Order: sequence, then C-alpha cells, then structure tokens
Amino acid sequence: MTQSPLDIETAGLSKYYGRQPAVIDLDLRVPQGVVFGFLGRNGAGKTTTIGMLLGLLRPSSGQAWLLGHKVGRDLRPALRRTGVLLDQPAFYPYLSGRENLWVVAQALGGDAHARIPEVLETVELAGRARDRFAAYSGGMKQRLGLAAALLNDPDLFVFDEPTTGLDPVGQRDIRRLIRRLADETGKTIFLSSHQLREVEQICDQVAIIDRGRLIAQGPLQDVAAGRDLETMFVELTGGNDGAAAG
Amino acid sequence: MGLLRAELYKLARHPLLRWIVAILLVLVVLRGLVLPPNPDLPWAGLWSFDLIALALIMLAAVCTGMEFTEDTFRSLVSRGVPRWGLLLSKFAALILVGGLLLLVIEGLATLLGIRPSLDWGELGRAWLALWPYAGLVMLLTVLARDGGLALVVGVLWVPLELIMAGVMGPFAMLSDLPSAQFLAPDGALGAVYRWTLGFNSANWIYLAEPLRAPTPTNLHLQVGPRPVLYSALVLAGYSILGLGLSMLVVYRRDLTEVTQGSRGPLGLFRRRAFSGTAQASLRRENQPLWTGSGPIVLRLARAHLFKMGRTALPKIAVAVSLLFPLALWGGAKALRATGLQDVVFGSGGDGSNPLAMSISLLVVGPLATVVGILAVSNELSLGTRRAELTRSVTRLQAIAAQSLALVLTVGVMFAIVMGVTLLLGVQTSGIWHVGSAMRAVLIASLAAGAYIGVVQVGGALTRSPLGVAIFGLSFLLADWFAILTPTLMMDDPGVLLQLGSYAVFANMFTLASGGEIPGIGVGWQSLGVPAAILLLVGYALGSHALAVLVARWRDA
Repeated sequence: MTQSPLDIETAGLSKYYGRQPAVIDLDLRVPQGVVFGFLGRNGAGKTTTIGMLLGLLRPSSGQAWLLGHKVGRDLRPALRRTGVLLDQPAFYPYLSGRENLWVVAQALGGDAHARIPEVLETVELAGRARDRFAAYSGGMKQRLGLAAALLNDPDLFVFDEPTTGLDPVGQRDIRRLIRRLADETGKTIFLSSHQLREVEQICDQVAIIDRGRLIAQGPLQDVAAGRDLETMFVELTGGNDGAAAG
Repeated sequence: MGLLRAELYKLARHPLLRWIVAILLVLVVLRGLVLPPNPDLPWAGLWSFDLIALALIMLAAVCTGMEFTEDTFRSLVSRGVPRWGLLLSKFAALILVGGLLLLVIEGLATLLGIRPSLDWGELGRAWLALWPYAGLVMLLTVLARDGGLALVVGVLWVPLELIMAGVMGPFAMLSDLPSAQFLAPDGALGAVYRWTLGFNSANWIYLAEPLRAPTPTNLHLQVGPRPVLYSALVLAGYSILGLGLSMLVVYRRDLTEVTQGSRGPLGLFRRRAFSGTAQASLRRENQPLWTGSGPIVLRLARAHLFKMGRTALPKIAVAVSLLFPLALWGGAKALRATGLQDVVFGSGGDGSNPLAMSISLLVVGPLATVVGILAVSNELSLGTRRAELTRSVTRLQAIAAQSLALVLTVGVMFAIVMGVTLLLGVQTSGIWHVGSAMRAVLIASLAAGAYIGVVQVGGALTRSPLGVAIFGLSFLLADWFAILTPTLMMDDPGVLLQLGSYAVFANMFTLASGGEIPGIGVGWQSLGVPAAILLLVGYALGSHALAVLVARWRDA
C-alpha cells in the first residue's frame, strides 16, 4: 500500500472542468516533517489541488498519495490522520465554539472529544469557547478551524490559505500558531498561500504553481536562488501581466 | 453512532426546531381549549400529521441545505467522514425528531380531549409515512446544494395535493360522462394522483378506510380504493429513492465551495454579469445602478427591475404564467360535453365574469411570495440593501422601491395569465371580458402588496435568506391552508370561520366577484367590496410600515 516515504506525492495529477484546465500534470513531493508552502496566484490551481488530495474533487487523470495511501478508495485512513483547515472555517453558526468542536469530534470518532479542552487552550480560545460561532471575529473563526484540525492529533496538516481575509494581527496570530505547531510537534504542514511574506516566515520548502502547472519546487533557498521571494515569484509567474501575489 | 449523536445534537439546538415546537404546541392547545371537540362527532385519525410533515420538510431542507451553504459537509468529508454516513445519520436524526414530534403533539391532543385515545398502530404507521418526506426533501436539497428550492417545493406541495384531492371529488359524480373521465378519480388524473405522497400516506396510515381519517385528509382517500400494501410499497419506494439517490449524488459529485451570493439564495437564480453601455459606464464611474434623475424610489425600483431581468426569473415567470391558463383550458376542453368549458371561460347569462378569472387569483399568493422571497433574500445574501443604505438611501425608500418593483413584476406576470385567459374566453363565448381582466390584474397587484409586505417583515426581522423564506411561506400557508383546513374540518368552526373572511385570498375573491365568494362552499361571510379594498390596502401598507419600523430598529 505504501508507495513513498513522502507525506504527499502526486504523479501527473490533472483536473479539467469541462475543457478548462485547472491543474495540469502536477508532480508534487512533500517530505515528512517540513513546513511546505504551496504558492500561486489567485486561480492558479492551489485549492483544486488540495481538493483532489483530500478526496473532495475527482482527478481527471494522474495519481496522488496522502500519507502513503492512494487518493481514491484507499484515502479515508489517511484523512483520519490529517488535520485540515480550508480557506473559510466551516462551522454551525448557532452553536458555540465548544459545541462545534464536540460535533466535529463525534464525527471523527475515537477520543477526539477528550482533546477539546487542550486544543482550545492551544489556539487561545478557551475563554470564548461558550460564545456562539456567529459572534466570533474572523481571527477567532480561523483559530477555531485550527482547533478542529488539531482534534484528532494528526500526522499531517493541510491548510488552504489560512490567513486570507484576516487583519494583520489575526494573520500574525495564525502564522505564530502554525510555526509553533511545526516547532513543537515536528509534523508535516502543507500550506497553500499567495502571501509571500507568510511563506518566507514559516516555510522550509516551497512549490510554485501557475495556471495549473508546477513551475518550481524545492527548499526555499534553492528556489529563491539568492533573490528575494517576491522578485523570484513575479519573474516565474509573469506577475507583471496580471494581479501580483500579495 | 457518533455521527447520529452529532446530528441529533445539531437538530436539537437548531432555532428552527424551537419555533416549530412552539408553534405546534400553541396550535394544539388552541385547538383543544378554544375549539373543544363536539362530543357528538368524536374525532377520528391523527390531528397533526400534515403539520408535522410540513415541519419535517422545513427541518430537512434547512438542516441539509445548511451543510452546503455553511460548507460544513465539505469540511467533514475532508476529515475522512464518509459522505454516505453523513447523509444517513442526518436522515435518521430527522425521522427520529419527526417521530418524537408526532408522539408529543398527538399525546397532548389526546390529553386535551381532541381525540378519544391514542392509537399506537396508527401512530407507528404515521411515523413510517414521514420517511419519504424526509428522503425526497433531502434529495432536492442535495441536487440544488441549498435548502431553498426544497423548502419552496416541499411546503407548497402538501397543500397542493390536498387541493388536487378536493378538485377531483366533484368529478366522481361525472365519471359516467366519457369526457369527464380524464379528471375523475378513476381517470388519468386519478391514476397519477395515486402515486402522490398525500394519497399513499393517508391510505397507509388509515388502512384504506376513509372513515378512520380526519377531514380533510379523507379527501385523499376518495380517489378510489387501493390495497394498503400498494401504498406501503410506494412510500417505501419513495424513501429508498430519495435517500439512495441523495447518496449517489453526493458520492459521485465533486464537492466544491458554495459561494454566498454567486448562486442566489435559493440555488436557482445565478445573476449574470451586467452588460450594456449605460451599466458599463456606471460601473466605470463606480456609481450604483440607480444613478440618474427623478424620485429616488422610482430610480431604485427601476434598478431592481433591471437586476431581476438579468436572472432566470423572467423566463420562469413567463413559463408559469402561460402554464396556468393553458392547464385550465386543457381541463375545460376535456370537459366540453359537461358544459364546464362554458362555465369556466364563458360568462354566465347575467354577463358575469368567467370563473377562470377568479380561479386564476389562486396563483397570486404563491407567485408574489416566491418572487418576494427570491428578491429579498438575494438582497440580504449579496449585501446590496446595506450598500444602498450607505449611499444615503433611507430604509423606507429602499423597502418601498423594492416592493414597488416586485408588485409591478407580479402584476405583469398576472397580466400574462389574464391575457391568455381572455383569449381563451373569447374563443369559448365570443365575449371580450377586458374590464374583468383588468380588474383582476389590479386586485392581484393589491394582494401581491400584502404578500410581499410580509416577506419584507421577515427580511427586516430575521435578516437571513432562510428566515425570509420561512416567514413568507408560513404566511402563505396560514392564509391559504391553515385557515381553510380548520374551516373544512370543523363541525362548528365559529371563530375560525370569521377569521377566514379576513384572509387575503378570500378578499381577492370578494373583489373579483363583486362582493360574493363564488364556488367555495365553506360558508365564509364576505366582508363586502369596500371593506375588502380597505383590508387589502391596509395589509399592504401595514406590513410595509412594520417592515420599515423593524428595519429602523435593527442595525443594517
């Protein structure tokens, strides 16, 4: 069953919506224990790739492995060991933060519910856990999303643009949490983003995707090759002909 | 079990369930205390089955739709929770809650003396008959990835089936006429009808014995006897079909994010990009669509009409507007030998209106409510009302302009209905009832103001697309069904009989027929033309005044 020591691997992974390509022939390799930045402009194919890795979208062609399990029928055991935070934290607005975590824990099964107090402390939400989710600020919602990702004590984290829409303080808090998670647990973190500063601050390795194609991959210093990340990114993606990454 | 526990917890904590429980309790207590049962006519059957079926439809649509609109379904699937498990546990939780509601409300009805005793067999069969409602609503919700469509279809479907049953009754007496067989219970319509949920649930719950069923549920059983096993199989088939297809759809389909605003509140009306020179110019200058000269309310109303014109609404409206008179015409044509065509489309010997013009007013309530819900919830989910308020438009102007546009829209839609009805009438009797048609359009527009006003109150009060839908549909049902039902099933309707006279649709009929309520044998007392006009104007203005007051009181 195990195909690779890599935590995430794809081979020729493609996704087409009708005749419109979203991801083309993607060969991605994410080693264990790194914070991996998946960079690309808006609409480059980052979320589609993550959707395929998590079994939300069916690949048009190619293969992918998550924690050694092939994406498809064999994926569920891998997802049980993965903590996920999609771009918008998805919870029930009429339930409190704690109740939302309880609902997720019941769905995940095992002893996830026993970890609720601990993960609330980790994301510094214990004091507001009884408030309704609808009353949370954007930063608090994102932190609750992180708490839900931590519930099953996963081996791999997948974060899709976790700081989008947050104010600078909220962005800083989330980055700090992710970095702390990496330092304290040594687990693999796969982080998609178009925020170059964020990636520079917390990632060890990066991959850059542009118009669905992988255009660079490797350790951050190697990919940047002595340039600052923004210059390199604009050069690689032809950023002057469209919106630059933020 | 964890999934089921989670689903039951979510349902139990959902605000809609609390509202439903409160409303059902109020209704059962009112029924028991205000209208005590007549000891000479002991109550038969279940008191609350249709109400609980409606409640379950609402819960199923709202709670399943929420999983898509809040993106929680995608989030849980990304954590390895099986898609089929999520749906199955939701279905199980819904039917458990439906069963509990049935038990509590019918138990209370027995304690209050509404029914002599609790028949456990009947109760158990009623619980099983709720399953297909939950399954089919889940299927519609999963297909649309939003609960709005299922909510509208489901909530309107239950009274519609009852009305169908009521319409078929008189044709039972005409079944020996060859041309009447199409609409008779043994004819083609009856054959179709015997596949409906209303007929089969009644046939199954009351073991095909009409005397066991309460009025108006026993209307369902008049379409002709069918074995109980037949209905049991049909209901089981619908349950399996609904749940099975729901699972198949979510298993096969990519799970993408449902973006608020990009799909429209009911998952039906995707707004296309604006085009045209004038609009492009306004966009370039960052000016809103209502920029121009003239009173602000008229400019805003014009902008609303333009925006609605860019959705699929006009096509659907024209299709519905043409369908209704054509269906009437088809029915009347099939019954030419009975003389019904002349009754429906021709005028009486005294030159009175064709009946079709009064009957057509039945579509005004659903039309105005659904169009109103779509427009108001669109404003809320897109945040455009808030944007108007930031540009010095007052709440009164914003609400008045939108309602003006909506009343105009409904008026135009009804004018199409009247136009087709008029032509069919000319073909039948050779008389042009232009005045009657114009009067019917005016009455429809006036009544639309009342229905839309209630939707606006719902929007101001709840500020949520779902709240708007529930508010508007509840009023429509109360106006159309809740008053009609007790009136039909009461041996001594008393207060409810008088209340029925104040219903919007009753007064529409009063105005259309010049003071009488034709063709309805429930004995309502018409309030007379002047009172009916005052009442409809009062409803329209009063509901809008209330909406503005609530909107002013609440933050935008």
